[in-house]
Amino acid sequence: MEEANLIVEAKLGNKDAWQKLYEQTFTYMYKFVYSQTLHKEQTEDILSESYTKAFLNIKKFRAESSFKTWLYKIVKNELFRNFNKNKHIIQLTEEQEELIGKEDKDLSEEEERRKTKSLQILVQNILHKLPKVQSEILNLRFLLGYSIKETAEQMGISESNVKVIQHRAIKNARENYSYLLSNNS
Amino acid sequence: MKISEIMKKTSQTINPSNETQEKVWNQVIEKTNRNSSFLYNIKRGFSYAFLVVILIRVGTLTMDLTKSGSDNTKTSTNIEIPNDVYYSDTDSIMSNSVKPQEDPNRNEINSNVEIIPIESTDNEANRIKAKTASINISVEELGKNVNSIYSLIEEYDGYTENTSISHSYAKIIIRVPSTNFDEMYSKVRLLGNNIISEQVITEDKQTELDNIQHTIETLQAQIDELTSQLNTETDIYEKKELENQIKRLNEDIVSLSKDKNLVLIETSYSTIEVFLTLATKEQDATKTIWIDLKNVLNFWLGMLVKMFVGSIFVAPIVGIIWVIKKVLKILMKK
Repeated sequence: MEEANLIVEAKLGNKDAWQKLYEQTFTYMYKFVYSQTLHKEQTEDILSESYTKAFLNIKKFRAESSFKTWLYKIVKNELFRNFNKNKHIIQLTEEQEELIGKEDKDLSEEEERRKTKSLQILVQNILHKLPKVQSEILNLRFLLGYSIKETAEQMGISESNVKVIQHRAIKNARENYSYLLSNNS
Repeated sequence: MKISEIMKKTSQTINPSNETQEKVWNQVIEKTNRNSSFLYNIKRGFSYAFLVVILIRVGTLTMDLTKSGSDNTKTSTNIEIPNDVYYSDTDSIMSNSVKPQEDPNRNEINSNVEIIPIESTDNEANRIKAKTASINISVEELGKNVNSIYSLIEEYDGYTENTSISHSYAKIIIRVPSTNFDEMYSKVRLLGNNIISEQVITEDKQTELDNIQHTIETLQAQIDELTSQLNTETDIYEKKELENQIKRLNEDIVSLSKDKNLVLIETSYSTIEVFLTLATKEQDATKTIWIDLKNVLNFWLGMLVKMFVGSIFVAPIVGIIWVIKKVLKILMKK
C-alpha cells in the first residue's frame, strides 16, 4: 500500500496502517535516537512516546511533507526533551581510542565488538560537540543515509546550503578529533 | 578513517532487533489505547481542573493571610468608617446605606438655592410668601422613590398637579400647603442618591397684600366721607354725583378684595416640581461597556494572580512527588 493510502487509513484509526507506517520508519528512527543516547531503554522510551504522539495526532498531519519527515520532527523534539546532553554523554577511554586506531584485520572478535561500541561513542561525541544544524546534517546524511536532496527537504534549506554545512561539519569534527581521524576525511 | 565512513559503519551496527521493534510497538499500542480512552481523558480533565482549583484556593488563602497580617499591623492607626458614609455617584462603589442624611460631602451640582432665613421675629414669621421649588434627583429605583413622594404628599395634605413617568425618569408637580412647604421639601431632598440640581424661589406677597389692604382702607375712608357729605347735601344733582362716586369706590373695593383673596389663595399653596432620574441612565453606553470589561479583566487577572501565588506553594510539593516517582521508577527498573 502506498504511503498516502496508509496515512488515510491511519487517520481513520486503522491499526494495521499504523503498524505498517511504524515498520517502515522504525529502523531509521531507532538509528537516529540510539546514535545520540547509546542507551537501549532510553531509546525505546523516547521512540514509544514519539510514536504514541504521532498516532494520536495523525489527524493533524497535512501531508505537506512525507510521514518520515513529520515523524522525525516529533522524535527530535522528544529526544531534546528527554535527553540531557551533559549528563548522558559517554567519554572515550584511552583503550577505546587505541581500538579505533587499529585495523579491523588485526582485531579479535571480542575486540571488534568493543571497537564497534567505541565507534558508536565517537559518533555520539562528534555529533554532540557540533552545532545543532551541523550535527543534524551529518546525522541525516551518513547515519540515516539521506541524499543531499532529501536532507535539504527535511531541513527546509537549499541543496547548496546542505553541502556547505556538511563541509563545515566535517571540518569541525576533524579539528575536534584530529588525533583519531585521518587527514583525508 | 573518514568521518562519513565511521558514521556509515556505525549506522550499520545500530540495528534494532525484532524483539525491540515488537516491544516498542506494544508500548505504543498500550499508550495510544490508554490516552485515547474516554475515561482517561475525563480523568485528565478532572486532574487539570482540580489542580487549577487547588492553585486558586491556595493563592486565595495566601493572599487573605497576607492581607490580614498587614491589616493587623495597621490596627493602631485604623480609622473607623461610620455606617452612614455617603458615596457620591462619581465613585464606582455605592454604599448600601446610601440614604443621604444631611451629609456635607453630598454631591450637589448646580445648586442655586435661595436659603430661606429663619424668621426671628413674629412679624417676619407671619409674612405671606409664595414659594416655588424645582429639584432634580438621581435615584437607583424609580418606582420606590415615586411611592415615597406620594406618601409625603399624603402626609403633608398636598396634591399632585401633574405626573409624568417613563422608564428612565419621572416628573411630579406637587402643590402643598405653604405652612408645610419647608418640612416637606426638606424630606424630598433626602430621597435618592444625590441632587443633580435644585432651585427654590420665594416671593414675598406681604407688601402686595399690605398695599391692597391700604388702598381698600383709603377707599373705605373716602366712601365714609362721601356718605356723610351725601347725608348733608340738599342739591339733588350734587347728591346724584356723590352717589355715583360712592358706587365707583365700592366697585373698586370689591375688585381689590378679589385681588387680595387671589393673592391669599395663591400663597396658601406652594409648588414643588420633582424630577427623578435613574442613576444608571446617566452613564453612556461606552462607559458601561468599559466598566464591564474592566470588571471581567480584573476578575481573570485576580484568578491568574491567585494561580501564580498558589503555584509558588504547590510547585515544591509537586516537585517532591515527581522526584519520589522518578526514584521509585529507577529502583523498580533495577
